[in-house]
Order: sequence, then structure tokens, then C-alpha cells
Amino acid sequence: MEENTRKSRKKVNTEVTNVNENEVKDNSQISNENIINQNEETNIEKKVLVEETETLVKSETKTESKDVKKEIKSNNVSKTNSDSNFIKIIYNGIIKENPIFVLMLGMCPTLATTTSLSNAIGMGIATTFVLLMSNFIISLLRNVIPEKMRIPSYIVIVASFVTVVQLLMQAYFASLYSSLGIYIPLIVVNCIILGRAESYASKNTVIDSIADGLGMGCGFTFGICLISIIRELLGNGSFYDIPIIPKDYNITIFILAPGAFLVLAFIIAIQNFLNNKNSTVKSNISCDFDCSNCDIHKGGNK
Amino acid sequence: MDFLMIVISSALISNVVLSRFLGICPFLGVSNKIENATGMGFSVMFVVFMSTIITFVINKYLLLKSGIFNADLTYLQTIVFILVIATLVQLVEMVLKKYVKSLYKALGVYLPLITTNCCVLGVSLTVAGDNIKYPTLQHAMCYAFGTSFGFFLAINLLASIREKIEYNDIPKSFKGKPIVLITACLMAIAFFGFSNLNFGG
Repeated sequence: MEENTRKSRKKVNTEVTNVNENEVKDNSQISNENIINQNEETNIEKKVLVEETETLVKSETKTESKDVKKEIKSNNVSKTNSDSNFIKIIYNGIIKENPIFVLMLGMCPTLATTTSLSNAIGMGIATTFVLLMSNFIISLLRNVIPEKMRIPSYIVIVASFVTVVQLLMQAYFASLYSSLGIYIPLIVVNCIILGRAESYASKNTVIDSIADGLGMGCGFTFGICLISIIRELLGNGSFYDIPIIPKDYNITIFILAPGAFLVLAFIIAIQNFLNNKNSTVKSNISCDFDCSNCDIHKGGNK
Repeated sequence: MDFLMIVISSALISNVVLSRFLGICPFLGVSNKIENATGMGFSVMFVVFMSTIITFVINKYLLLKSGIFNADLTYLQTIVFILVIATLVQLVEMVLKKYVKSLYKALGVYLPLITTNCCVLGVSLTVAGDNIKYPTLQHAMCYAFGTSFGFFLAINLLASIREKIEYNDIPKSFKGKPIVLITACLMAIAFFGFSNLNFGG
């Protein structure tokens, strides 16, 4: 939790320095309005930094802030009720902090392997296995690995499990291996695995890390299965290779590369729509640099 | 002519981002301003080129059956390549920080991000897994240059489009990631126009 605020503080810091550098560069070119806008942006971000240090629980998206509150509650509860904490962490990984739709990590395999449901299920199970095993080993060794050597040692652990998965798939699931191709070794650099290892498994107990790995893996599998069902149904007219829609009504673009971008865009848009409908309070930090419609900006000097 | 064909096919025809989906995370995340996109593009070009050379040499002389150890060690490709890439990025960052401060300031923020970039490992694995298409070091270098130039092109194009659509009237649910993804979709469709670019046999 503190790691999250530290990270988001670092992000805001780099954003502030980026905006400062851009101010110096663009002084001669951009009109006065833009300079004032950028000044107000840095002021807004400085205010936000102060707010963040005052309140412990502020993160970039509203859903993340809710999760952190729930994590505090669940950490307090965990001492009395370890079984329900296990289930809570799994639920967190599937719905609340879904790695594809909420955390936006692991986009590369999401877009590339969702051309059919069988590919997606295979990829999801492989990633879940690697995530589970690497979380387990990393949380077992969390007090042994020195601070400076964390990232290389995490990479070695994850890469070993990926090699195991790759060899198993090559032996027993040859058709799946040839259709997934290069994306199986690329599980190593999947942001989800290294991200969870860094932020969760290196700080929590073994049982919690196993639960988190299972939850995140199931959330990832659920996400890519959803995208692949849509893409396969619209683009190929089939569901798990069972033809449903006749070939004349297939929209081929969904099977090709642009279709992945399109489906993901619409899913995130639907999610935003549902989030906006449920909330009336706009978070201070998720501003998307849309200064003319921002509530904070309206009170400033124009 | 062979080399030119490799460069064009890897940069335009099967563009690494828009057609093979490697390197999506920085593509969507760093492309909000053209300066950031240019910095990221140049650092990716730098890292991909250097790491492809080193991993190609390691693969050819150590891991293949025709190498020094006389055993088929290709199952170690994943581990060895990712360790080489991580070490290389760390070394490059340290060297740049000490000796070429201006270049470090221009590229430095993005270098650690590139370690977990699918692009770098993807290029290394593609070159290593395809001994027929990329038999020599020159072929591998051309492929690396072409791929990273394709990434540079795609991320700069997306950044310039993003700067323009910032002033448009985007529907509320589509603000942020969705409109960027739809823009990438349209760019990918546009790049389909290169798919029959096949000159010189």
C-alpha cells in the first residue's frame, strides 16, 4: 500500500519535472494560454502531492483507491479470519484489480493471443501457472534476496518457470505451442508477473502470495477469454471452433490486428461509462489533462 | 537487396507494434507528447540494436549445436537472453550517466522501462529462432534496425495524432485509453496498405 503511494508519488514527481522541462522548451512557441495552463497543471499537481502526503490513501483511479481501503480492512481482518482473506484476495484479483481492465498491465499477450478461444485459454493457464509458482517462490525467498539484486533474481525465477512451461507445451500441446508461437517465452516480460512480484509477493506471506497469484491469473484468463469470445464470434463466426454464424456474415477485421485494438477500446469505454454512471464525485488526480472541463481548474485564474 | 527487403518488411509490412503487438505498453503509455515519444523511440532503437547483436553472437556460438559446447542448448534461450538484456540496459545506463550526460538526459528516463519491453526480447527470440531467414550477423542487424525503426515511426505517428485530438470533442466514456486504442486500430488498418510491398522478388 505504501509502495503504491510511493510509486504514485514518484510518477507525479516525474510528471512535474516533465512539465517543468516542457515549459522551458516551449516558451518561444506556444501561446500564453498554454503556458498558463501548464503553470496551473504544475500547481494542481503540487497541490495533489501535498494532499497525497497528508492522506495515506489516494491513488490514480477511483477503483484503486477503493481497493487500498479494502486492503487495509482486509489486513486488519486477516489476523482473525485467514480463510476469508484468501477468498478476498482472489476476488480482488479477478474483479477489483483485474490486471487487464483496471491495472492495464500485460497488454501484449492480451491483444496478440485472443484470436480464438482455445489460444486464449491456453495462454491464460500458462500465465496463471507461471504467476502462481513465481509468487510462491519469491515470497518464500523474500527475506533472503538482497535489496539491490531483486529485479535480476525475480527475472531468473520467472524465466525458469517460463522455460518449464515452454518445454511442457512443446511436448504435450504441440498445436497450441505452434499457434501461440513467440508469445510463450514473452510471458517472462509480462508486466503482470514482474509487477505483482515487486509489489505483492516480496512483501507478503506465502499463503497470501499464492492467493494473489491465483486471483490475478484467473482475472487475466477471464479477461482474455472475454475478448477472444467477442473476436472469434464476430470475426470467425465460431465459438471454440464450433461454427455458429454463417461465413457470409463474418467481419474479418476482428480476427486481424486492428480488431484487437477495437474490441479492447470498446470494453474499456463501457467500463468507463459504468464507472461514471455510478459515481458523482470526480477524482482529483485522474484528470486526463482535460483542463477546460475540470472542476479544480474552474476555480483557478484564467 | 536482401537487406533492404528485410528492413522494409520488418519496418512497414509486419510492423512490430501494429501488426505483431510487441511493445504495446510504452506505445500507449509514453505517446502523449512528441518529445517523450521521440526519446522513447530512440532509446528503443539503441537497445534493440545492441542487444540483438549480442544475443545473436551468444546464440550462434554458445547455444546452437554447431557452437562451442556441441550440444543443443536452445532451451536456455529465454533465460540467457533476458539476463543479457537486463544487464546490458543497466550497463548502458551507467555508462551514459557517467560519460555522455546529454544523451543520458535525453534517453535516460526510458531506459529502465525497456528491460521489460516485449519488443526487445521479441526481436532477439525471432532472430534466434529463424536461422534460415537471418543466417548472418548482417541480416540480424538489418532486422533489428528495421524493427526498431518501425517502432519509432509508429510511436511518433501516434504521438502526433494524440496531440491533435486533444482539442477534439471526445465522448466522455472514450476519453483516455479508449480513443488512443481506436486511433491505433485505424493506424493498423492504414499499415495494411503496405502488405503487398514486395519488390525484387
